[in-house]
Amino acid sequence: MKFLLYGILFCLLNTSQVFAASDNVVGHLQSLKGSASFLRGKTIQPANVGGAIYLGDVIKTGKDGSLAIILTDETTFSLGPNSELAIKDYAFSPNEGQFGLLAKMVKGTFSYVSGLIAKLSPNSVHLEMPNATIAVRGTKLLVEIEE
Amino acid sequence: MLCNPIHMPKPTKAGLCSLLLALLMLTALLSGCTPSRVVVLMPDVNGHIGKAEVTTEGGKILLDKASEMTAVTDKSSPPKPAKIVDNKYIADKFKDVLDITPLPAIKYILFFETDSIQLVAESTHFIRRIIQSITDRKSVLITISGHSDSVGSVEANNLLSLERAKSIKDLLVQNGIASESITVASYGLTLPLVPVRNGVPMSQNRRVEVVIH
Repeated sequence: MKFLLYGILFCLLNTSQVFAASDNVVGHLQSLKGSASFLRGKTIQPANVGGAIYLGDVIKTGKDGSLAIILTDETTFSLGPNSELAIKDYAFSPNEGQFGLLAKMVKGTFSYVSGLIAKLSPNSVHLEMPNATIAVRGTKLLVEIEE
Repeated sequence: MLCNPIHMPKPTKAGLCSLLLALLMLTALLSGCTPSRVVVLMPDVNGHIGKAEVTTEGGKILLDKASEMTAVTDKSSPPKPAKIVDNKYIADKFKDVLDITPLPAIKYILFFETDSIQLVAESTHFIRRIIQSITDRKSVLITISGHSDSVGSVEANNLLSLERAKSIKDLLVQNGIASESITVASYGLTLPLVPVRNGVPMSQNRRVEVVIH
């Protein structure tokens, strides 16, 4: 039994190596309809398909807008019109055993499809919405937040 | 009865009626102004149903069935008990979100010669199809994961599967795929496609998986 445990530990420590494409890029904009923008620090960036998403970005859609983003661990968020999502924390380094996702759904409509972080480290995914938090075990969710 | 003019003196009647009106308005106010904040659990693309636990300061609710929904009213009340919602409710509320949600990812599996980063002959043909898929879908995320069989040491297999994955990335980049869209991971012998006893050679496990989102 002890041998088995050491074996598992050994495997976990040696499983994988992931090389991030570049620092602080957490994902990309995968599809877009209508108007949307990214609040990055103090500047507002227009949203373009294929554009990078950085840690700390606040993603907003206009009243005719909807979009989908995919993070590097395959987590997908879709936003309907008049929606706002903040990527507050993100880590995906299986080699170092670092996993984390903290995203706040501020307003609007959303779908969330879990990725590898939820699969490899279920307790590392934290979704926030006004007045509540959502813990997720490998799944798809739809969320509506009216103001 | 409340507004009966025979039994009620005029001032009382007016008072009661306005009280009734005020109550009606309050009810309307409470139900109409509580914003809708709902969470619905859905099956994923493979039909798998996970779990979601919604927590407020007042309590928590577990969703673990398809189309199960809860609602959050305020910070101190627990989320509403879970109930199943129908497809019409989901389509009405989430049409825009569901329409923009991307197609399911496509996975290609490429196989390799023993202890080598050389693709087996049949797999070389897939490179062209992979590039075509990435271009057709205007993909912005391609994950490439390298794997090995369990012959040899863990370290050697980690390195080998990393080299396999990197060789496929290089091929894609040489064919014009943007490097920053590609994530490379190496899993060594830890995730076999066909589980076999340690040390047994298995061609199906010497592979790279390319997932195009």
